[in-house]
Amino acid sequence: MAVISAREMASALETSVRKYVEVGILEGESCNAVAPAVAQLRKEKNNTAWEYSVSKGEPIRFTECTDRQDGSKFNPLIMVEKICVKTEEEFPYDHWVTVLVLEYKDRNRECPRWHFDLGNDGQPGPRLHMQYGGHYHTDRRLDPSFKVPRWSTFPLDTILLLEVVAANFFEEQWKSALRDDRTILKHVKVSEDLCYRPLSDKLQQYLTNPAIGREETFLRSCWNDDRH
Amino acid sequence: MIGFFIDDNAEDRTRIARLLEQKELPIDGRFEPVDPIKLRDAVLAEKPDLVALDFRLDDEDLPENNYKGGALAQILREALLETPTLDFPIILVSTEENIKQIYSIDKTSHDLFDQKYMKGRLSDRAYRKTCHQEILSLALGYKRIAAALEEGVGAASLLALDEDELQIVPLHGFATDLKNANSVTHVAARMLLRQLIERAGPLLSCKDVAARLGIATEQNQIEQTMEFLFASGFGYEGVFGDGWPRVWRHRLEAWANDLLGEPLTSLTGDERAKRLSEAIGFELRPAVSKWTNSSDELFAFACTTCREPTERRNSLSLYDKYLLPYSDKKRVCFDCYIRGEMDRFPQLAIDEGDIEVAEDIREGRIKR
Repeated sequence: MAVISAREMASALETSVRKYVEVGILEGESCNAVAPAVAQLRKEKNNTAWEYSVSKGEPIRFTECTDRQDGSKFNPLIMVEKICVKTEEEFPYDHWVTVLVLEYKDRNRECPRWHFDLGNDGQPGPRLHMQYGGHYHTDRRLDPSFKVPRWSTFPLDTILLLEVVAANFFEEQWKSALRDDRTILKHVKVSEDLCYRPLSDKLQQYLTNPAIGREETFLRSCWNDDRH
Repeated sequence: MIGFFIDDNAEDRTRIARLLEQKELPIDGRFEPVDPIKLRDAVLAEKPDLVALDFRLDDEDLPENNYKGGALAQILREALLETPTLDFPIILVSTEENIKQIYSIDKTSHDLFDQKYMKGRLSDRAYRKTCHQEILSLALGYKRIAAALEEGVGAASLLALDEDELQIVPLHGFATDLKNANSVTHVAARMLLRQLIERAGPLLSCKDVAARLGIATEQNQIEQTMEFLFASGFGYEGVFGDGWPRVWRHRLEAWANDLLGEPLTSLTGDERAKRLSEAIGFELRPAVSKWTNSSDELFAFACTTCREPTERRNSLSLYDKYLLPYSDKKRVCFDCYIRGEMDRFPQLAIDEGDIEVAEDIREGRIKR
């Protein structure tokens, strides 16, 4: 397993956000947004079990983007309801809700929201999943009503969400200043280990052992109410 | 300890010196603004613990005093570069008019003064009390800084944190700046004041604390809360902490997180006040958003102009050329913006990223 200390995650969070601010794609206040999380992690020192949150009242905020379709403006936001992990364990996730929102300036418009989640006991769908929707708007009528599909996928943490947003919405800066930055690479690799390995180990086992496929599909093996 | 007040107006020299002085720090008004080099030598010979200057030292018809407070402050600062242990705070005490019209445009002199006070407000008891508390803290703080720099100890000692705790606070940049201060007391003092004490970030003032806790800023409630937080060991005890009461943000938030199981700003003002009341043992009244008139908001910071608890959703980001990685970004609430409160602070401007939202408010597209 990827053994990651709280201290390591603190500096990954702190320096990644700062670098994105320096490149000009994150608002300066994003440093404030992760400050409580960084302090909380630093306090745990070399502990390999740790947790942090990035509050929805103070999210990590990207600079403004323009909707290519209608020219309207929005800011991508990243929030972490909670990441609570024991990195030494095979399945390290105790609690996981990370969120990406595209916050439109127009307050009467639906703001697209995706979250990566760990299903509660008994909740249908893949245990680790990504889902569109959920509650975001003050006016709840703007929240989408559907709950499915829950996509079976790797959970993404703050560092990986930062990279995804940068690559998709700020491709020029990502290519010129971020994607080859040694520090960013190092932090992304650590997070990839945390986020990809548990599911990819399982997938690899599934693909290399034909016997498993005769009894169940990979999706079923990920299903929350039927897990082994 | 002894301080001096220098003014070209003889009457003010005595009157203002009386208003500035306190038992622990008598203020002497004997010096007239004569030739600056002579005046500098005379002041330094007294080994002062604080010097207060009027900004206009050139009013009266004397051929040799055609200079302003900034020039005198500059030659005093220069003279002290080589004797950092004798360094002392220099404050500006002038009329509101001179501060606004002359001092405010003389940007190069701003770094020379530790603080500025308005002569006209010194007769107000509350203002005077704060001023006394701050100038005594400046005089004592300078000595503490000089001693620490002489011993070669760094940020941890000045901030009264142990090295372990310093690791938790994101002050690597501050520690570097401090090293670059090259043991000059007044440079280190200015950094502490401007970068930590006067800005929300790792240290929070009572108004910032109210915003983080999502509680109303009534004086009684704030005083009681600050008392509780200090008694719980969250208070800042480093240099200038006696003049400017501040709470360590990381201590406050670790406590709240243990108590609530989630970050403070994830809960609405109502929820925060309710759950914190139970923990603290006295009733806390939640903050009310000036825009929505509701406590059901995610209060996070004090508005730059009204200092009331404000939510990100109903506020605008301000342009901030001095934003340090550990300082809070300045924001203004919609209510202050629409009521033109920013006009009182001509140096403030809406950040580029929020200009369109500002327009939406002005045009009534975003309503209360």
